[in-house]
Amino acid sequence: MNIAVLAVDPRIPWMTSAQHQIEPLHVNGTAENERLGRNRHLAALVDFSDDAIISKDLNGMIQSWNKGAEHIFGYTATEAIGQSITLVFPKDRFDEEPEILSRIRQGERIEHFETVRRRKDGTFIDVSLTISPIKDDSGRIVGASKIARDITEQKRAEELRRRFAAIVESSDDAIISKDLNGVIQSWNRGAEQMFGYLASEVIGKPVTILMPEGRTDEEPQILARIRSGIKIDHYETVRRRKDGTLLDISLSVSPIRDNSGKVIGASKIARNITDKKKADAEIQRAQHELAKMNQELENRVEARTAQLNKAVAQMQEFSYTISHDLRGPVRAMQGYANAMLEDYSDRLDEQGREYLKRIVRGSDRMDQLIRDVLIYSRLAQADVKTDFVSLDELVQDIVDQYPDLHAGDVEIIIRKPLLPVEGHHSSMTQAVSNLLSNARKFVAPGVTPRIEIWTEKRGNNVRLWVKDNGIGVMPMFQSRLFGMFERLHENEEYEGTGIGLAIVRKAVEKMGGTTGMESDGVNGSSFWIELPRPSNLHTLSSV
Amino acid sequence: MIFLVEDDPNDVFLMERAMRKGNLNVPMRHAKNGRDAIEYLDAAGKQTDPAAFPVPTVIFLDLKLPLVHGFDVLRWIKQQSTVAKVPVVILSSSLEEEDRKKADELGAQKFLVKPPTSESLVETLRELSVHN
Repeated sequence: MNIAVLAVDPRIPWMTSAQHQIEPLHVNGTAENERLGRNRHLAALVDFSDDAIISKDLNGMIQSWNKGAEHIFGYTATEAIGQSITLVFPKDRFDEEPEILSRIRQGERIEHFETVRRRKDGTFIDVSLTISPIKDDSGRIVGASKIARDITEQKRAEELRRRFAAIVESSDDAIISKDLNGVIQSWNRGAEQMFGYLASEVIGKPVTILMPEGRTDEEPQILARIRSGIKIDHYETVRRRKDGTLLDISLSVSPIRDNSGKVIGASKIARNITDKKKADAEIQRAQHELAKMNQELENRVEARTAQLNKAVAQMQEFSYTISHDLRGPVRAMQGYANAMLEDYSDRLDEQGREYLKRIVRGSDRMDQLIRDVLIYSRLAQADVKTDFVSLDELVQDIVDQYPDLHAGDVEIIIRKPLLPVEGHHSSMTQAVSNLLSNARKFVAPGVTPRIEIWTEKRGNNVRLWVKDNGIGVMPMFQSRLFGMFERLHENEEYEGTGIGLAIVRKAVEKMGGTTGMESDGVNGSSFWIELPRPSNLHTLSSV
Repeated sequence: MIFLVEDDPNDVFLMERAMRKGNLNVPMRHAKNGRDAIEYLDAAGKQTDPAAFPVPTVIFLDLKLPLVHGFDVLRWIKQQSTVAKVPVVILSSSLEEEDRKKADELGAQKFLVKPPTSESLVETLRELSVHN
């Protein structure tokens, strides 16, 4: 006998009446046997279907329950048959049943009704229902058959797809997909904005329409890599918009795979980097400009410094030379004036002798000034190399040898031992001599000069003090004291060139030290010179 | 005979005056630059005409000289056979240590600061005659 093989497709309407009647198609043999055979076949098909196939009466009582229903809803046939169909309804869906039954009674079919049902374990599932009236032989509606398909996974997939599509659509980046022939399959809003083409204008076209001349051979290379399953990240290139303008973009291309893992296309994300590139170019240019300007500035500074150094050197040479050359004529003046005083004083009156004396004094002073300027400019030009200096020896030598310090009564107290310093012997001799000379000179008339000399340790330095009992320096004048040609007194009171302390300061500066003074303006002055302690290299050999 | 090498005429005058004041009646010859000094001393050294070009008993040498510097004259003198024996007194306006040291190294006998007083001249000549 031939049995029509039926596709178990709940969407085909006449299947719902499977349990009761079937229209015979091609029948050979006894109608009864054939009918039984067919029924058995159909029953097997129903029973083993993946879909839940259930029948109920018009009161909603479950009459049949297939294996699919057991699987989907979790209740066995024994548990379900005889129960109300609402067994599998979530509480908030109970009122679907009266609605369904009323439509069934009217002979209506309900197709692909998506709703939610409840499993035995309490979980909810999304289902798609197809419900049809069951008629008896007389055509009277006696119940309903329901085919329920679990669409939970389907719904979840749909939800994900929707969400994903929303992401793609709302992205500002251009997200495009193409197949392995490079034909555009999808085109999001970002792509529309970036390239100026509507989706309808480009879908189905080759992606090369976006590539300017010279870039079209990028496509075969991209496709080759995609086919091998290789991603492309942040590939910077140029594309062309609908209006012909070019834009710089950064591309990321990934393979799209089907369920079996086979590469079936590519998704591209394009980011417009034109602005960024412009900004980068700007920055580079600005940096380049800056570097150029810096270099120019440095060059100018170098040139100026060289100029300045040259000018300073020339000045120093000049002051040295001129001072040197002035000494000759000054010497002549002194010589002749003295000669006249010696040889012709008897032929001169008091006035005449007085004039000559003034000439002598003037030229002496000039000579002293010139010598001080010479000393100063020599110090300023000198290349001072420091070494171990024993202040004990140095100070004692000055005190012993300098004639100034012996003219008249002078009391000099040296508190030995004086600490040694890292300095320059002749510069230090010059500085200390000047301090001592001042200490002796600037006393009130009739007062015997008393000079105290000592040293003290100050951190890594040594400070040499020269204290006198002289006329002192008022605080308001102290700041200018070490300046060039600074004098606080008239020549008649105390002679001096005003260079002495400038020499001290220059000498000490050159040795890398500092100098200063303290005075209340009445009770003498204390001058100091501070220099580093001798460096270790020397102290080892000094003993 | 005192041989004075000095370019400044005032210094020459004052030197002569100082000699007179010290009663040093020694004949004096004078060269006003280093080159002339060497020329004279060269001739004197050769002793071809001792009357015209006597070898001096002492040379007073200024340092800052035109044409040839005092130190170069000194160096030259000390390289000669006869003239090297003549004592040299450096006259200088310089107070510099380095000049003193160099004069010493090059073989000068004494270093005087200009203008020399008659006393210092007298003393110098006395010292040098003792050595001679």
